[in-house]
Amino acid sequence: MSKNQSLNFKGCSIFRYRIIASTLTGKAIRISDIRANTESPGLRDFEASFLRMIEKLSNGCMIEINDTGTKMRYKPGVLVGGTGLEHDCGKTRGIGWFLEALLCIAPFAKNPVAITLTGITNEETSLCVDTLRTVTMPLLKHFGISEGLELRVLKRGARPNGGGEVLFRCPVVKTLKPVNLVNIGHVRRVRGVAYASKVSPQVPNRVVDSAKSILNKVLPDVYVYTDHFKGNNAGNSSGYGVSLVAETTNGCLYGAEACAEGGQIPEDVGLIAAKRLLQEVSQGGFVDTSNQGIVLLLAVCCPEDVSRVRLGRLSPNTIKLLRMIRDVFGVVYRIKADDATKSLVLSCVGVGFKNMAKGIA
Amino acid sequence: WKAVLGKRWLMNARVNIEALVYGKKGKRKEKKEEKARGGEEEEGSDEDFFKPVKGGRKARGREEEEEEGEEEELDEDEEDLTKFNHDEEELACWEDAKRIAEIRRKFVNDETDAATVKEAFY
Repeated sequence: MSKNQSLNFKGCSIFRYRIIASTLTGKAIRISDIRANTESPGLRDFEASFLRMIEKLSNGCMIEINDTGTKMRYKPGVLVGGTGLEHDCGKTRGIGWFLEALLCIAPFAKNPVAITLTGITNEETSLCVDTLRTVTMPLLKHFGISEGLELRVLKRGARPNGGGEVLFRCPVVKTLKPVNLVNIGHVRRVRGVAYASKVSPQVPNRVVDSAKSILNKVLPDVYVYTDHFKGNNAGNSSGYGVSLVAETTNGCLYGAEACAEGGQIPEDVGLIAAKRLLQEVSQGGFVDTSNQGIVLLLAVCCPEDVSRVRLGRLSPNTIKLLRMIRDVFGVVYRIKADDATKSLVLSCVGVGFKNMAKGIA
Repeated sequence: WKAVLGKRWLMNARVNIEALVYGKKGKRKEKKEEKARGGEEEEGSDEDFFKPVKGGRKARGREEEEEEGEEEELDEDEEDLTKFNHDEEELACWEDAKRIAEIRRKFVNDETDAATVKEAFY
C-alpha cells in the first residue's frame, strides 16, 4: 500500500480500536503525537504489549515506532490466529483490556484462536474477566458467534503483581449476522460473582450482602456466587471485588463491577457495584456503557443489511469510536433520539465484511 | 412571558445528536478550502464587488449554524479505556428511596403484572 493510502491519526485515544479497524480493513495507519505533550511521551508498555499480541495473531504485519515512541506506523498482515498461543499482558493493564480487542478480531482469523493470557485478571480501570465472560461474550451470540467461544479463568491475579491466567478460545465465522437490539424488556434477575484471592473467605460474603441490600429493594431474584481462590491459583497479590449482571426478559445484559482499592471495605465495594448496575439499568440501552464500542464495531462489520442498537448515554470513548468508524469504514451511524425512553437508537448498514480465509478452508 | 416561552422552546427543541457526534466536518473542510482558494478571486473581480449581496442575513445565519455544528474536539491523548465508571455524585442518588422507587418499574417484581412483562418494554 502506498504512503498516501494510509490513514492518519493523532494521540493515543482508542488505540486498540484503531489497530483493530486497520487489521480488519487492511488499511495501513499512522499515529502521531502519541502523548507528545506529556512528561513521559510515547507509547506505554501495555500498548507495545498489545502490538506484540497482534503480531502473534497475524502474519506479515509491519510495525514501525520512532525512537521517542510518539509516532508509529502499522501495516496489517493476514490474521492467522491459531491454537497454543501465549501472551503476557504485563502489570499495567488488565487482561480484560487485551481480551476486548481479541473479541473483535479473533472471529475473523484464518484459524480458530486459543490463547493463554497472563497478568491481572481483575482491576478497576479495565473490564474484569468475569464481566467479559458473563456480559460481553454472550453479546456476541447476537452476531452469530457462539459455539466454541470460551473464557476460562485458571488463576486469579490482582494488582499490583498479577499472576492471573485465563484461557480464551474463539471460533471463526464467515460473516456476522445483522442485529436488531432494540427491545429491552424488564430486568428479571441479577446474577454475579464475588471473587477473592489471598484474603479471608468471609470477604466475598460481606460484598454479596451489601450488594444485595440495595438490589433486593427492586428485585427479589438476586443471586451472587462467591469464588474464593487460594494457594497457587490465587496469583501474586491479594484482592477482591464483585461483578454483577442484570438479565432482562428479552435477553439484554447489563454489567457492573467494582474492585477493591486501597482503603475500601468489602461493604463499600458491594454498594458501588450495585449502584453502578442500577445506573446502567436506568440509562435504558440494550448494552451497558462499557460494551457500547464492541457492539458498534461489530455491527459495522455485518453484511449489507440494517443493524439497529439502542444505547443509553454515549460515552466520550464511543463518540471517538463513531468518528473513527466513519473515517476508516466510511459508515456513518444514523442516530435517532427516543424521547419517550430517553435513549438513542443507532442504525447503520454493514460494510459486508467477509472472512475470506473461512471460505477457502 | 419571555421566560415561559423560552422554557417551552427549550422543552420542545430537538437536539440534532448526529451533528453533535459527527459535526459537519465536510462543510468545514470545504469552507477552509474555499478560503484558501478564494483570496485572489475576491480581490480580482471588481464587477462582483458592486453587485448587491443576495440574502446577506440568511447566508450569515447559515455560516453561524455551520460553525455551531463543527465537530467538537475531544482529548486525543485520553487513555484508551472502555470501562466506564460513573461519578460518585451520580451514584449517590441511589441512596434516595424515591429514586429507587422510580426504577422499580424496570424490574420484574411484586408490582409488575404478567401482561406488562409479556409485552416488549419499549
